[in-house]
Amino acid sequence: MEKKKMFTRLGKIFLISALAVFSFSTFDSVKSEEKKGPIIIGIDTELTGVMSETSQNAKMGHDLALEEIGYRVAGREIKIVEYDNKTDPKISVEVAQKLVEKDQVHILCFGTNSAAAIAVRGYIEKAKVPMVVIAMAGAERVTLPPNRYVFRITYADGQGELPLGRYAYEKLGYKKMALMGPDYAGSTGKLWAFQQEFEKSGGKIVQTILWPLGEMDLAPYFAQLKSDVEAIFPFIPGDVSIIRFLSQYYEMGLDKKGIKLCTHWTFTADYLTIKTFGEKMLGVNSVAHYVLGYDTPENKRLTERYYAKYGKKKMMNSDVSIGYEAMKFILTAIGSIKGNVEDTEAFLKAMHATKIKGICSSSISTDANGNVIRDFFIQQVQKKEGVAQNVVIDTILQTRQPPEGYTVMPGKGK
Amino acid sequence: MQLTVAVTQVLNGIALGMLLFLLAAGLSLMFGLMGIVNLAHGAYFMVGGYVGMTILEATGDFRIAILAGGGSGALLGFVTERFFMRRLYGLRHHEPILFTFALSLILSDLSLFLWTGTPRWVQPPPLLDFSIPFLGTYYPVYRLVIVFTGLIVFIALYWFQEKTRWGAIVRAGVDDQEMANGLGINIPRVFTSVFCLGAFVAGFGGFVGSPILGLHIGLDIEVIMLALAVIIVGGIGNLSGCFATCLLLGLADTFGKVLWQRYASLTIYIIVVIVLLVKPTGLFGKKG
Repeated sequence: MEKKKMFTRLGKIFLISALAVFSFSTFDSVKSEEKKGPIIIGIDTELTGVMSETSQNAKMGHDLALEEIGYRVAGREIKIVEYDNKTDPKISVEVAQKLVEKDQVHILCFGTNSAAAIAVRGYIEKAKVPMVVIAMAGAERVTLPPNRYVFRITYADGQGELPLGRYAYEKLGYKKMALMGPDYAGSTGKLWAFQQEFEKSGGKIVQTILWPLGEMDLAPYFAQLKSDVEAIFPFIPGDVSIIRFLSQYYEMGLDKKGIKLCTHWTFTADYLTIKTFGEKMLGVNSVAHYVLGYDTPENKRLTERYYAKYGKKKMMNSDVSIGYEAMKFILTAIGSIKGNVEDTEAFLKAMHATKIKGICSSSISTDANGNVIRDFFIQQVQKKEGVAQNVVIDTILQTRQPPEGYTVMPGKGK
Repeated sequence: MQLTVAVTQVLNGIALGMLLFLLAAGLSLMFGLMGIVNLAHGAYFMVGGYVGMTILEATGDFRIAILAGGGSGALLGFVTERFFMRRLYGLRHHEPILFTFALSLILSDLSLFLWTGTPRWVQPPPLLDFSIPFLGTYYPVYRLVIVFTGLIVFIALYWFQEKTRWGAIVRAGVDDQEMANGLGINIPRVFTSVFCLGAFVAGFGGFVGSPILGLHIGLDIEVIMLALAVIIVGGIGNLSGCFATCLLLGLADTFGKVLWQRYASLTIYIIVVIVLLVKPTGLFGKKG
């Protein structure tokens, strides 16, 4: 009997001790998570300067993604440290160094200027800090040659132009086209990518007209277009230049001559060009990674949240969607490693393993070089419900960054 | 070059020249009379365009919008001359330059506040918004209207300057201010009037040019560089010289775009450098 009592007492002591040890260890682990402090994401972006509008829109997008999860992932707070690089690659490098060395960020994010992202590739490799390009950065050298610390969730030069080149020949039936744009790497990369695929499909670029960046009067260039040109693929950076291009294209009567536009989504942005030129734009085809009225629950939800937070002064647009997707992608990757961003190798692996549903794209993931794999859409400006707007006429599933050298002038690359 | 393309490019060059004239005529007048380089002149052009656009949106009447564009330029010119520039006459050259540069920055920021950074475009009036078949291609009627407008403005200004008493007074002011003052001419009033007239033409040009150039923050800087090139190449002095220079630069710029596309932005500035080296007083400027 005595033995049995003693045994029961021992059992109780053991049970209490075990409970105590378990609760202490749990407390300790909570304490250690708190000890780790917040996850710091640094953003090196263009709050002023010529690219600020795109970056500001992207910022709205990632704010929406962060609010959705209450700025917390896996029990850890997300802290955002953001500095303006004034759209200047030199300042951008200084900002990146400040974020890494002074603010000790776990993840470095980049805004719009691809020149800035290219400039810090070497630095972040030495610092061993993962870098994610969150807004537009077309240049192939952002992710090529591969740098294991660099990721891009937007798109690369040629990623949309390549399928568009093929589509223009095969589905739209253009045989002879012209390329037009400023003589500037940010434009020509897209022109050459389009040309390579259009000609590979069987078409012929019969004319390439380049002008100095910032040109005011384009009428003399339009007047040089050959009579057998069926359509133009233009690319010009900046809203001002696009408005100028389109106003002078219509003014010179090129639409009446039957010379079509087959172009990049920036030329058919609902908030800018369709709003400005209205029904004149009916029939213009373009390639896009985001379509304003595209019917997905994600697009509907984000658009509603955007208007609720920022009002209707400016229409929902692709930059907001890009900013949202990129931040959501990062947060999902952080969540998959339970917030342990101090383990850089684990985070890099998680970025490669992450796959999310895009706002319009069926899925978003990254390739071995860290560049995004996403759907692109061929859209056409049509009158729908009495309003001129982009309507998807085809979907190009899971596009990838073209091989290295695809964005150099045909015959001059590798 | 095909004949069609060549003729189209000549028309393009003349149209650009006329736009340059609407921009530079006022600056040339001010420079000739007062000897000051008004760097805010590009801002008058831009603000005139924006005000015209706003009035067009409100009224739907292109004619009222033209008057509003020109009127806003004249009002800005009046305020600039009457309340600020008048205090700077007689000082060295750089004070007025610094002041007008500061003024252009202020006007640019005010425009950003009022009309935001989103670029805008003005649709030509429906009567003029079409292209006509021309030598097997199309040519926009609106550009032909710009050519016609430039010619009318030139003739009107020429008539004013050469055939009216006010014009004679302005010419007297250009030639010898002290003597004109001595003859009882109210030179400050002449200055204000010329400033208003020049700024009116700039605001008017800004609006009628907006269907071609569009409207955006930064347009002021783009156009002031061209206007300064006109002043340097044409020289100080006569209106006819300014008109001829605008045509020359318009045609040179256009054919530069045809013949050496990728370096076309240099054409006007190469002419500026050559003129400065060979005839620093300008092609049509007075000596001394």
